[in-house]
Amino acid sequence: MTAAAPLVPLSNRSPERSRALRDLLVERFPDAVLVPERVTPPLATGCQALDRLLPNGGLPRGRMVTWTSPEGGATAMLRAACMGLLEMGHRVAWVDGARTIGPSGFDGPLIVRPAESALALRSAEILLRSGGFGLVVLTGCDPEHQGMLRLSRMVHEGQGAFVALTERSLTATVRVTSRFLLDRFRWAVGPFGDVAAVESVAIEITVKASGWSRSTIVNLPAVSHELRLSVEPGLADRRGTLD
Amino acid sequence: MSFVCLSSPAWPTDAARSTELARHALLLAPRIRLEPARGVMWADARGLDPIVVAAGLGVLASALGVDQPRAGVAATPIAALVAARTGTLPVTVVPPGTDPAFLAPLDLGHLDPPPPQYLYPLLAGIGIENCGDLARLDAQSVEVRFGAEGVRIWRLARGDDHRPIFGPRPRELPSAELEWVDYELADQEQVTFIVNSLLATVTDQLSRRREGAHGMVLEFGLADRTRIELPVRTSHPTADRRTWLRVIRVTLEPVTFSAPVMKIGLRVDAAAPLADRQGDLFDTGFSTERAAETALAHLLDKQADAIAVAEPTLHPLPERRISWRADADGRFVPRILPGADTVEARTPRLGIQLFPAPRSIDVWSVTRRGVPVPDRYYDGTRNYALSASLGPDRISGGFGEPAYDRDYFQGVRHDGVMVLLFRDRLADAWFLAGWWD
Repeated sequence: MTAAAPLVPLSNRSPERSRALRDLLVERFPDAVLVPERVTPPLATGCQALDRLLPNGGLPRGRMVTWTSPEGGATAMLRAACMGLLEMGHRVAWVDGARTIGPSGFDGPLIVRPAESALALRSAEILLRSGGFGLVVLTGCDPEHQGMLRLSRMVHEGQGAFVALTERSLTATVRVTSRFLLDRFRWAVGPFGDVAAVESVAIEITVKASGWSRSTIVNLPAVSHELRLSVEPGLADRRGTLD
Repeated sequence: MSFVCLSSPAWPTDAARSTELARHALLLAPRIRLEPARGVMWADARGLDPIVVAAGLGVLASALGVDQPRAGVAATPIAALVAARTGTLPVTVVPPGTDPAFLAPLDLGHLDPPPPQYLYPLLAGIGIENCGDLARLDAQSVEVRFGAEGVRIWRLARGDDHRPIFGPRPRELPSAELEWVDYELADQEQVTFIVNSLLATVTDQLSRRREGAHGMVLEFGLADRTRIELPVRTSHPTADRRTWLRVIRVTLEPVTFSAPVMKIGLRVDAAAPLADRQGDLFDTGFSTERAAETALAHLLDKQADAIAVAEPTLHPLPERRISWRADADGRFVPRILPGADTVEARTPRLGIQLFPAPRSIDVWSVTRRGVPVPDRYYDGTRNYALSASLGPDRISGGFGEPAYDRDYFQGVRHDGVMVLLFRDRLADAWFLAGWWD
């Protein structure tokens, strides 16, 4: 009597193949939750500088992230994250509560410009609750405690990623702060020896979560020609220049 | 047996009697076709008892003065027509499946339309005298000998008649209306309230049919007996009441009624099945597309211009360099400029944030080469010292608009935040335009 042949060759049961298959499934079905892990994988933004700082390498889904220093380069980092997610095929919405998006920031995500602060909060809630958006960013709105709780509930319901630029971080799972490092700015000097332009700035970003604290310094380019009101990007606007 | 044909050798030619006959005939059958010139009337008896319909039509025709009405009932129009014309009884029934046999002994001249005159000698030449003789031939032989007209006659002789007697039945699209006489509506909000309730009825009907409307017509009857029709459209078929209410509100907003409203009707003008599109495994957002669209419709319902699209204006003043246009489409379309380098776009870079209107500030300045340069400023909440002030960039103009003359400075605060300040040279006042973030 001879033993029956195995149904699957032993070579096909190697851990490498299992890992490769799992990686392939995660890549093809990023929204799916692996049953053994019972957790939703984070949303990698494609912005390496930010992903390296965040727990598990991305923005948590179904959890609130607060960026508590609105004037510390947060918009630049989040705009880059939005573009990365858009490139990956996610829907991204930017709720501009204070209606302050400027000429260089309108490209990319769906921009919501509510007429008032209360409506900004409501807009974010609607978008978060739908579950149809990979990332929702809320800026220019400082919700009260009740509003924060409601936002937390909505983001949990929709299971998308949510970042609020607000000074309140009570219900946040991940808290991000950032600040400019003035002594690390790079300046361009003019013909008279005084400062003519800012070439690049440095910001220090700190991410804190439960059992997680990480900080880094990121250098951001500052395109002075574009910033100094040139109509044509890349060309200096010399009209009315005195020096 | 679905065709009932009523024929008379002396069909009344006056329009009034024909109209009266058709009006009463519609009580017997859902679809009636009247051909007074040929002296026949057709009735669609599908799903009905054709003999009852035929007998009813005969009685009706007699009562309205039609001389010797005869009815024919058959499964094909040609058999029903010939039965009505050749029958001696008030109702002649051709049993199903016997149409060719019924036609076979009849002369070819009974067919309608009859064969052309030139065919008779040709047909007689090969011994064809009645429909049965012709029906026995095969199509190829008939076509070779008698041409296309011969084939048409051959088909009729075989009881093969597929001519459309009745036009396609128009689809009944959902509609709702409300009319009143005891009060008058002049307030727009009250009108919208009633439209909303009608909309609920219409969208419920659409949902039950698994259809979405992409066109509706609002109809208003006014107290001065005028009628106003307003077409409303959406970009894609939907049965979502909120979406439709939003579109209708936008349509009604500029409308002013010349008299109080006494009647409101809402009917679907164009509908399409709510078919789900074929999915794409590699589209990460496909499964949630409908959820996103519903959310955006909800958002637009809250504020019609909430979703905004920026359009560059190339105006020299930064706060007017882009204009925001409301996007009422309610669809998510990533807006990436063509040719944009996505790798570059993913690289974080500072961008300017502008206040909706420049904020007045107090500035302490120093003079540099004859120009006042900001040294520190107070924005109403706190003082900010500036480490550097880059500029000025002078912008002036105002052709066809209020004149402006400004000196812009890029200030770097002690906390590293870069701000955009300007001095209005006409008003000699300082303003904070925005900041880089």
